[in-house]
Amino acid sequence: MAEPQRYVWLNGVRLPIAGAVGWRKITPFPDQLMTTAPAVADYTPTSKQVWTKLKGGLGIEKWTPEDNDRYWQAEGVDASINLQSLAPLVTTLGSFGVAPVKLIKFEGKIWAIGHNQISYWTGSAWTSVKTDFPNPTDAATFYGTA
Amino acid sequence: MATKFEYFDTGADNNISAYGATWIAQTFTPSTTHKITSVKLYGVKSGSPGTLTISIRATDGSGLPTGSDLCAGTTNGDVITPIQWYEVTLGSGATLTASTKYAIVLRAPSGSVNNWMNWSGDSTSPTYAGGSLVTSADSGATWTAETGWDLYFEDWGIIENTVSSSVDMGLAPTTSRAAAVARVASHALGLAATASRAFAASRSASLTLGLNPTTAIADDVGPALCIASQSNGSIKTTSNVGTTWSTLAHDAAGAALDASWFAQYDNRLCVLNYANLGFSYSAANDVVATWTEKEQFPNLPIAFTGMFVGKDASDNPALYFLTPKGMYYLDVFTNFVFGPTEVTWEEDSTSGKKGLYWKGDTYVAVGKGIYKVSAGVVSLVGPDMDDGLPEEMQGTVTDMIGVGFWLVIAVDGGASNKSSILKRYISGKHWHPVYVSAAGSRIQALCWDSGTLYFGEGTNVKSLPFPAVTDNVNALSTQTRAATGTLTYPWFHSVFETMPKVAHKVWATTRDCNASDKVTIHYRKDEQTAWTSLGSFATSPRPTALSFGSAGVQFERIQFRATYDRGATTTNSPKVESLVLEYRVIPPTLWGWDVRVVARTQGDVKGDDILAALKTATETGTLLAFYPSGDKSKTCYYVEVKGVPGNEAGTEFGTEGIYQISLQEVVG
Repeated sequence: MAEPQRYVWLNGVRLPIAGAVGWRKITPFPDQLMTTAPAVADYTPTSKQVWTKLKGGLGIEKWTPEDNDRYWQAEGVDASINLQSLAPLVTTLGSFGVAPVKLIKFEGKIWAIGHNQISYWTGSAWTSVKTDFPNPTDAATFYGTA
Repeated sequence: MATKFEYFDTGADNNISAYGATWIAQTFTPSTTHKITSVKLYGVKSGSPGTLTISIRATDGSGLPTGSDLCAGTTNGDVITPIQWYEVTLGSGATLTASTKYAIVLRAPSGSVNNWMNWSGDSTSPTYAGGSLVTSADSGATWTAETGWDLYFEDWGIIENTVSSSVDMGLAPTTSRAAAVARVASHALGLAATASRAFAASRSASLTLGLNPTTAIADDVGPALCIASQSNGSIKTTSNVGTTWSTLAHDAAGAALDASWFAQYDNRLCVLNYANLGFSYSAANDVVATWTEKEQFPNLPIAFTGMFVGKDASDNPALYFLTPKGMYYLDVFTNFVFGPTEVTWEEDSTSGKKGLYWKGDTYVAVGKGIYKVSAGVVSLVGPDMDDGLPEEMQGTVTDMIGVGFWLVIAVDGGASNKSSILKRYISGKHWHPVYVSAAGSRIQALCWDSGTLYFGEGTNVKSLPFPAVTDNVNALSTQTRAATGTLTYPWFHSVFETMPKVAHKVWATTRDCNASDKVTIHYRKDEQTAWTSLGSFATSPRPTALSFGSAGVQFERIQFRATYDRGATTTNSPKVESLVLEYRVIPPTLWGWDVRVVARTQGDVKGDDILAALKTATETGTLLAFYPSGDKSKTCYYVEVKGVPGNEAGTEFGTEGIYQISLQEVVG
C-alpha cells in the first residue's frame, strides 16, 4: 500500500499537508442566476450562431457580433430583402457587337452607343442606324428646338 | 412635336422595287394643311441599293408627280432591314395644302436588279382614296399610275403656329393659313429673305403684326438624341429611328465644335471638350442656332472625364466637371470662372468617371470608391469600405444611376476581374450585388426603364428585371430568377477567438425548397481553401439539419457558402429565412486543487514559517509554481491562491492550525 502523500511544493516552499490533494476541473463559465427568460446564448451544452437578415450588405470578411447582418460576397443571390433568394434573371439582348459606352432611352426605345455603332432595340433585335461615329463618350436627350 | 397626318397601313400583300432609273411613288391628299417634316415607308432592302432619296413633289392635273422636289431626305438603303417602318426626315420640310394631291417619291439611283429597295403595299384591293402607286422608268421624267396599288406610308408633320392679335395682320379674310411667329421681337413679320420662317400666304413684306413677343416660340420643338465623342464633335437626330443625323455643337459656319461631355444647364445644352480646354453652349432651348464657344475656358491642363449638373451648398444649380484628380465647379454665363471643390483626391486615371446629383446629394466615383457630398460634407460610401470587395470582384466605379431609392453602380473589373452591378439603399450603409459577370466581361454602362435595368457587358447589352412596384421581389410572382447563385458568409470565429470549437450541425428555416429548388451548404475551416459539401436543404420550412458527423468537426474559424439552385421554372427560387450553426466552445482544460496545509510546529518545521509561506503565496501577483504530487520531478502547474486560506479551527489567519487552501490554474 502506497504511503500517503505528505507534502506539496508551492512557490518553492515544501508545505506539509493532511489528507489527499483534491483535484477538480475548472469551468470558465460561472454559474449564473437568471433574472430574465433564457436566450439563445443560454442554451447549453451547445452554442448557436444564427444568421437571419443579411440586409446589412456585403463586404465583411471576418464575423463580428455587431456585423451579424452582413455577409462577405454573393453572386446570383439577392440578400437585400429579408429572405435570401436567387437574383434576377439576366437576358442578353441580341448581339450589339461593340462595347456600349452609353445606354439611353429616346423616343420610347433603348439606344446603345458604341464605337462606330449606334443602334436601337426594337424589342427583338438591334437596328443599326449609324456606323461612322467613332469614340463616343456621352449621350443625352434634349427637348427644344433641334 | 410631330404628329401623323395622312397614312395608309392595311392589307399589304406585295411590294414593288425602286432602283436605278426606276422610281416609284405613292400619291396622297392631305385633309389638313400642315408642314410635312418626315415620312415613314414600310419595306426592306435587297442587296445593296445604296443611298435612298425620299422626296415630296407636287402633282399635275393627271395626279402624276411634276416639278422638282418640294423637300427631300436621304437614308442609307444598305441598312434597311428587317422589313418594318422606316422614317426619313425631309430636310426643312414643306407646307402641304389640304385637299391638294402630292407624291411621296422613292428613288435608289445607285441600285440595280437585286440591289433595290422594296416598298410594300396592297396590290389586290387597296382602300386608300387619296392617291395610288405611280411608277417611272426614266428617273421621274414621265410617270404611269397604277391605280390597283396603294403603298404603305405615313405623313408626319406639324401645324405651324398661330398668333392671335387684335392688330390687323394684313391677311385677306379668306386666308386660312396661319402666320409663323417672328423669332425676335423686333422683326417684322414680312420677313427678310434670309429668315428661316416665311409666310406661306402672299403678304405685303412691309406688314408687321404689332407684336412684341418676349419669348422665342419655336416651331420645331421636340426631342433630340445627342451624342458626343472624344474626337469627332457631337451629332444629333430628331428621328425616332435615327435615319438622319446632323452636327450638334457648331459654330456660325456650321463647323463642328469639340464636344465630349454634355450637361443641360440654365436651359442650354453645354458641351465640354475632352482635352484641357473647350467649352461651348447652345442658345436657350435651342441647339440649332449658332453655339457660343469659349475657347480658352476652362484653362486647366488636364483631361476632363465628365460634366454634370448638381447643386451647390446654397441649393442653387451648379455645373461641375470631373478630372482624374478632383471635381471642379464652373461658374458660367456670368463670370466664366472655375475652381476646385472640396472633393479632390490624388491623381488617378481610374477616378472621376462619373458624377451624379441624386436625391439632394452629390456622388462622385473615385476609383474603387465613391464620395458623397451632402451639405458640403464629404463622406465615403463606396463598396471599398470595411473589407472591400473580394479580389476577383475589385474594380473601378464607372457608372452610377438612381433607381427609385436605390443608388445603382457599375464596377468595372477590367480584363482580369469580374465586373459587377451593385445597389445601395438611400438610407442604407452598404452594398448588395445585383449581378456579377464572368472574369474579363466588363460592365461600363447602365440604364433603367420601366422596371428593367439595362447594362452593357462586353460587346453585349443585357437586361434584368428591376421592378418599380416593389423592392420585395419575393412578393412578385412574375419575377424571373437566375438559375443558380452563391452567398458566402463571413469567417466565423465566435466571440471565443483563439479557442477551439467543434461544429456539430447546421440548421435552417427555409421557404419554397424542394428537390429542384434547393440550397446546398458548403464549409471550409482554418487554412482550407477548398469547400466541403454538408448537404442540401430541399424541404421547407424546417428541413433536417446537416451534420458534421457524430463527433463533430473541430475548428478555429469556419466559413459557410450557400449555393442556391432552381429547376426549370424561372419564377421559382429557394429562400432562406435563417441559417444556424450549432457548435461547442472547447476552452483549455484548467485544473484546481484543494489542499489542507498543516501550519504547525513539528520537528524542525516551524508553524510560523508555514504561515509566512501561505501569506506570501496569497499576496503574490504572479503565478506560483505548484507540484501537487509533492515531487519536483513531476508536472509543475502554475496557479494562484483562490481566496484567503481558512483555518479549520475557525481562528483568524496567523494562528497555527490546518489551513484549507484552494489553488487553480488561470491559463491553459
